[in-house]
Amino acid sequence: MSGTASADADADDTTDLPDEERKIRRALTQIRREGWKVAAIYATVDAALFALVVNLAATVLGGVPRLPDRLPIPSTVVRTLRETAGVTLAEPTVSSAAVAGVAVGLLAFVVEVAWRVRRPLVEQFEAANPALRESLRTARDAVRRDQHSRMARRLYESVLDDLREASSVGLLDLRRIAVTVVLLSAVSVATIQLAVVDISLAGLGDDAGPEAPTGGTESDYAGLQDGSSILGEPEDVPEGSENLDANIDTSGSGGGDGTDAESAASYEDSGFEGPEGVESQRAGFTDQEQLEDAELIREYNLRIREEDNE
Amino acid sequence: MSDPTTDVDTLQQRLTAVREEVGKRIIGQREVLEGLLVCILADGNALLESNPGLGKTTMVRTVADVTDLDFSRVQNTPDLMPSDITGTEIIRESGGEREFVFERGPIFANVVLADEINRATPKTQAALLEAMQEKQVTAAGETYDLPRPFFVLATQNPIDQEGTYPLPEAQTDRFLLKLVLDYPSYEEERDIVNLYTGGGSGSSPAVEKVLTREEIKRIQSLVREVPIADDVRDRAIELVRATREAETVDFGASPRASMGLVLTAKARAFLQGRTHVSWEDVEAMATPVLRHRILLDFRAERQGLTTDDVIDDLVEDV
Repeated sequence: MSGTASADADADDTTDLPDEERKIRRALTQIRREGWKVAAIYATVDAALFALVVNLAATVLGGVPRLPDRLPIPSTVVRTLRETAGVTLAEPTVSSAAVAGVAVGLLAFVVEVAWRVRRPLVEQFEAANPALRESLRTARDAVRRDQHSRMARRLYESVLDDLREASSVGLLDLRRIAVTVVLLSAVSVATIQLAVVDISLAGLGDDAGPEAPTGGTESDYAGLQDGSSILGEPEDVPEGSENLDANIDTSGSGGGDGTDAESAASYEDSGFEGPEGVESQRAGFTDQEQLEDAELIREYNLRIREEDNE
Repeated sequence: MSDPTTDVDTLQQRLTAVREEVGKRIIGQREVLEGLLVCILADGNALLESNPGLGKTTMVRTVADVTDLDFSRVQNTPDLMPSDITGTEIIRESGGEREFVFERGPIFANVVLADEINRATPKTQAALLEAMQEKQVTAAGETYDLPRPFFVLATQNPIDQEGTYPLPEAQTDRFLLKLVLDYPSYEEERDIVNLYTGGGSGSSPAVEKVLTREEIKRIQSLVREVPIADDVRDRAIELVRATREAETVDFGASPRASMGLVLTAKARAFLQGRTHVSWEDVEAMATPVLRHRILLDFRAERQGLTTDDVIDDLVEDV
């Protein structure tokens, strides 16, 4: 922002200049300020996108190489937070992925602002407002040459009139900003989703840590991990010495002890009877077929015993 | 004391009125009229190439009429002497005494139309052009300043070159612009016929004086103050320098052409009611400023190119 500061200083040194020239100098300062604002807008949205993408990528890939999963927050910061905002951090650490994202975002912001202001800001404004490009450029050169002639003053008046109807919105590519914001929203949603379901590709690598029961790594799970702290230390249960006999009676239909007639009767007496006398039928083999099978089994058993005896 | 910016607006409105008044007598020829006015505003002189009967005398006389300027015309012939233009000393008798008195020639006017300048001998041409350049005349050891504003419009006939003395390149370079007057379109010619053969007395339509000599001087001063952007000025200089490096040009334009191009661009901007020079002004003035200052290479002539074609190409390339 040194450019703006120096421009302001220039504007302050113009008290002895004609009114039109002083105004045009102020207008040029204002144009440069608008250029800085536009550069900051672009850089902010892009830096936020970079920060979130890096954070997301680092989280999915299982952390930042050569950095621990969590980095300690400096004690001064923790103390300051506690004293000023009354916030007490239970765990004074921060994810290395988040730190990497913020670092990349800050770097992207600085680089983009520097890249966008490398071309003179007034020239960018002239390009965005072609109707007053020539007059503004001429006025700029005239101011630089300290021209105070009648025609120069008339030019300054004309340019000031035109500038009142000009806008710096043309400096902004609204479509590009909108696309970046949409991407930003998508990455934000993905980041939230990642925090909820805890997706990790760390298990795909050989150097991945042991998996937690939920599928994530141990380091990702911040809940209860030591069951002994709740259930106590494990101990041997003493063996029982008293023997007891227990009899269990069975009852109900369908069992092998009931006769076939009883079974059939109990089946027919139960179930739903419709208003039109639809009779229920028992599926399966008929009684006769069952008897024949029993006889056949018995015959086979006898023969097998005879063969064993022999 | 009047507001200088209001003064600028007023003078620009007067110039618009001048064009409207001239338009009452001159049909069409807008570019030539604009060139004439630019030349006056830039305090320069113009060379006009035209066939006979295209109204160049009427145009120049009308400009003089609406601007309250003195007008004189010199018809150049091979026997015209320098003193016939600049003036000569004569013996005048008054009160029984005889004395030499300088009798001013037709060049002592604000607007001088030197018709068919290429029919005068080189000696007479040189005397005229020297007076035009120096804005003063020296006779019998005395120096006489020419009236201001001073504007010479010299004409040449592009045909019937036998018995003429074409102006050398060094002389033509002294003219700020070379304007070419072409035949009017059918509609324009019909309007001209109607205007001058219709009812009334048959004389030229009346025009009003809308610009004074003092106002012209102020405008000439303001024109030099018209701001020009650095890049436009640099491109204008590059354009002139390109004439010295182009393969199609044998002899390029001098730095005087660079000055002339920037100055006429400023004058045109003022004439158009603007307060700064646009590249459009430089483009418009490039051909009239450069066309009489360059000589084409024989290969370009063999290809049938004209100086206007070559200048157009250079303007596109710069």
